[in-house]
Amino acid sequence: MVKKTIKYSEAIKEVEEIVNQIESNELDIDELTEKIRRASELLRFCKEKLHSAEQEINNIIDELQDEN
Amino acid sequence: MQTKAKTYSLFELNQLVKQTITEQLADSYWVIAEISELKEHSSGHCYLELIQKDEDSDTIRARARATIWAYSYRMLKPYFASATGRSLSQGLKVMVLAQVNFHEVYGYSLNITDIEPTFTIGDIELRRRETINRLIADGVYDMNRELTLEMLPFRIAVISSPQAAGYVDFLKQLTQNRFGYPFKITLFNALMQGRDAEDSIITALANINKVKEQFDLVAIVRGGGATADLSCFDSYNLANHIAQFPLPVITGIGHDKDITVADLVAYKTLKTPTAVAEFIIEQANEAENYFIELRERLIAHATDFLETSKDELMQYAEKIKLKSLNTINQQKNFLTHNWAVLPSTSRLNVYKNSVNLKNYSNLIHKHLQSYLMQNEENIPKLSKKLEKAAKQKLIQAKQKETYLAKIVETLDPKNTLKKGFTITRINGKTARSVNDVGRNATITTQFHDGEVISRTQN
Repeated sequence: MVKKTIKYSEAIKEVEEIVNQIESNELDIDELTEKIRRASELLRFCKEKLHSAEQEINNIIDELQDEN
Repeated sequence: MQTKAKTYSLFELNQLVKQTITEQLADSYWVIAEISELKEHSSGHCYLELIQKDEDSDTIRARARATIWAYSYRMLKPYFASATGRSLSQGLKVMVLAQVNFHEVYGYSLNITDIEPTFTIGDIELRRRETINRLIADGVYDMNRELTLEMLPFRIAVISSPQAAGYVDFLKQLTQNRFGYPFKITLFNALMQGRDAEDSIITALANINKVKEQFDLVAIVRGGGATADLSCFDSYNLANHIAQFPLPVITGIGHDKDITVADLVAYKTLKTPTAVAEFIIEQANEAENYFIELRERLIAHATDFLETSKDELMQYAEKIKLKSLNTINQQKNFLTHNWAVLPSTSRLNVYKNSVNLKNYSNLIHKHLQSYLMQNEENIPKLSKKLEKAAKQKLIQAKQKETYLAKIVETLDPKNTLKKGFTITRINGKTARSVNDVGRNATITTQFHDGEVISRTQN
């Protein structure tokens, strides 16, 4: 599981590292599975975080525009 | 003492003076003087007092009464005002064409028939520059302009005269502004022209200063006019107060000729009160537009940022998917390839191994041969040893055989029967218990040397 306390940018950084590792063929199949599971967890975490940020921002923007 | 001297009556003497003046002096002279007093009579005549001060000590060195008769004053007054932007008034230095008069009753006076406004303009300019230089030297000249105007200047202190046309225009412009901004306008009443204007405006400034936290700026406005008296706005005192005022001061004192010193030190100067109002409205509008722009930028950037982050996530997911599939496919290909190559590889291995095997057997054979050669001489000894060992074994085996034969002999039933034991059979079966013997049974008893057959009773 991804920790709740992890920051978005930290999660992205980890994903980035995993992508780099995959790209440079550093991993064997066992590691690959492990890493992909981790990456997908991180990406899901980022997506959720982004989604809630988006909702919050959209609410604020709506409020701002309502003030017009 | 001259005893023979002629005696004059006062009138005669005054007549003599008058006659001498008329005879000796030219028709008129251009005279430079300062107006120390000026009164307009209802008849249209203008009565003045001219003086000359000592440049350094300010003490009066000369004084003369002067008159501008109505028929001259009617023309000279507007001419002077339009040329200089100042009305002919106390404190001005003028260059006038004067006839010297002497009246037996009223004495010495000057009759002014013309005036040269250029001199006054030059003098005003000269004094203006002196004032400006003094303000600069005092370090206050730029002070008001260095203030920061509130972004949204809604709270306005106005110094004006409530009856002045300029003030009404100003008020109307602000209260009816097209954006509907709620300006809060407070009037601080002051005289805007004449001798007392300077002190009156300074007092108004002092009153605003007491409650300066309630205002964003000060507007000094008054309606314009051809004969507007702007001299108070050139005074060092007023300019000094404006320059050092803690709020931005905007002037709109209705003139289009030259700029007064008050205008020069003010935060901002505009030609008319209406223009001042428009400037304030424009400031408020700019503030609002900036606010809107900031909000739009915020919204746009936030939305943009979200989109970028989403794209980024998608890209990563896509990359991972692609790359990992790639790696798996590579592994698959590797396996498939090896699978295909395996048979031929193994054949090769078998061949290689068989060759090796042959070599090995040759090698072993060779080693064996040499080993045998080395041990050839040992063979006879060995065979003897072997023979001996074999004989030994044979003797042992024979002994064992004899022993075993004895045991077998001992265990033979014939030998047991010889010792007196018998074997009882009933109907041919060996009986081991009394119970085996029933009635009417045929019993065979075997001895070592024969059998006895008997029968049980019914």
